[in-house]
Amino acid sequence: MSEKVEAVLREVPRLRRYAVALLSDRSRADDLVQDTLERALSRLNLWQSGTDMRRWLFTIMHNLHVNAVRRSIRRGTETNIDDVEDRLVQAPSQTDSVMVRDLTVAMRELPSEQVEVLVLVALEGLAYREVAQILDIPLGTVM
Amino acid sequence: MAEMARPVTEEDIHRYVDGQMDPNRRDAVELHLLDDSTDALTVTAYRHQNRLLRESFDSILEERIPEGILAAAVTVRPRYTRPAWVAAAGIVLFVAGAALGWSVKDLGRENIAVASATPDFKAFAISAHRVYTPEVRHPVEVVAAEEQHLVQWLSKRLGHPVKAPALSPLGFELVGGRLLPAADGQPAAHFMYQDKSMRRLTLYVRGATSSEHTAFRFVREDDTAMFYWIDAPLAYALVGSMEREELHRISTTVYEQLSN
Repeated sequence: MSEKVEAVLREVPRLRRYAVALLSDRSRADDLVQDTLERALSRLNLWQSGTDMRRWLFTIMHNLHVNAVRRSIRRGTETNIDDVEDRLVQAPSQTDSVMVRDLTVAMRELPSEQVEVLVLVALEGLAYREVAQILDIPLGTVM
Repeated sequence: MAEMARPVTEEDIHRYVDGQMDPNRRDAVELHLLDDSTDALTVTAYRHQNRLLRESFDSILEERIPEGILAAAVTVRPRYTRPAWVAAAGIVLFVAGAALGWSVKDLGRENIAVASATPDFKAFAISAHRVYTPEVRHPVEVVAAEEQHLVQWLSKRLGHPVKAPALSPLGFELVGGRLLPAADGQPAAHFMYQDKSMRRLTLYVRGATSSEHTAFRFVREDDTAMFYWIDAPLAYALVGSMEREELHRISTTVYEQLSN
């Protein structure tokens, strides 16, 4: 049992990176990570030993995210751009800072599914097939 | 040879950039890129974009995990597993943390730091009061009209349920609140109240350990007065520019409303 929990916790930094890239908002990202951990730890017996824990967790996070997006579309979104702006990821260097800002702005405007593909491929280095499985979309739409 | 002959597609370009190329196809794509400057530029642009993405987000991997996230994980009640797991979870998290090289060291240091952090607590609470109460346009981040959202948000960040006490009977209405830092990168909740004559009160709340003092304490710094107390797992500081008696009366109400 402890090995399973350990395997979950080992992925927390990656889950946070994914969530921040996805949401561009630290506080919402940490909420998403927390929800993912709660869901995963309460269903740990559903995870099959020997299968990829990271992929399982990313799948849970994706599903929670998609459900949240659907709910917020139904309700109308509450996010105020001024609230989000200063919580955006800090630019790593002076020279690229403008491009990073453009990139994060562009990412907010992309459909969330495309951001997920971008992040899973570019940051996580996952194979297209794995990305398609996590997001539950046809392989052809990943590329 | 067939692999060389097939025209290079957009999929090839993506696979090439993302390192997901069929090795038999690589030569064909590289030859094509020598020839087609538009596609070559696309490759450069995609690579640059991927590098920027990594530079923007990879630092998150090195960050300390906010305690609230782990705290939430500990309190999870597994739906399908035996109750023994619940009791073990805290220990498991602790041990797992040690194995992974974060939280245990940090938590250990934290406990010691928090136990002796009361002076910091006072400084943070008074400083926050002085910084935010004179604000006209932006005294709070989330206004009282969104109290439910505010309370949920702050509870989540602190890892414990926090409430904004109702002080209307004493003449103070909630203005709103915000997330603030406490010592050591920990979060704190900050609520602001205001009465008819525009006097403002602030309540600063952060996580606490049971080893901290629990008695009501009073501090005055110039015209700013503060009562603080610890009711684990939370520590509270009520700050205002008023006489000790009045602040004490309000503090007692706050304490009664918030204690479990």
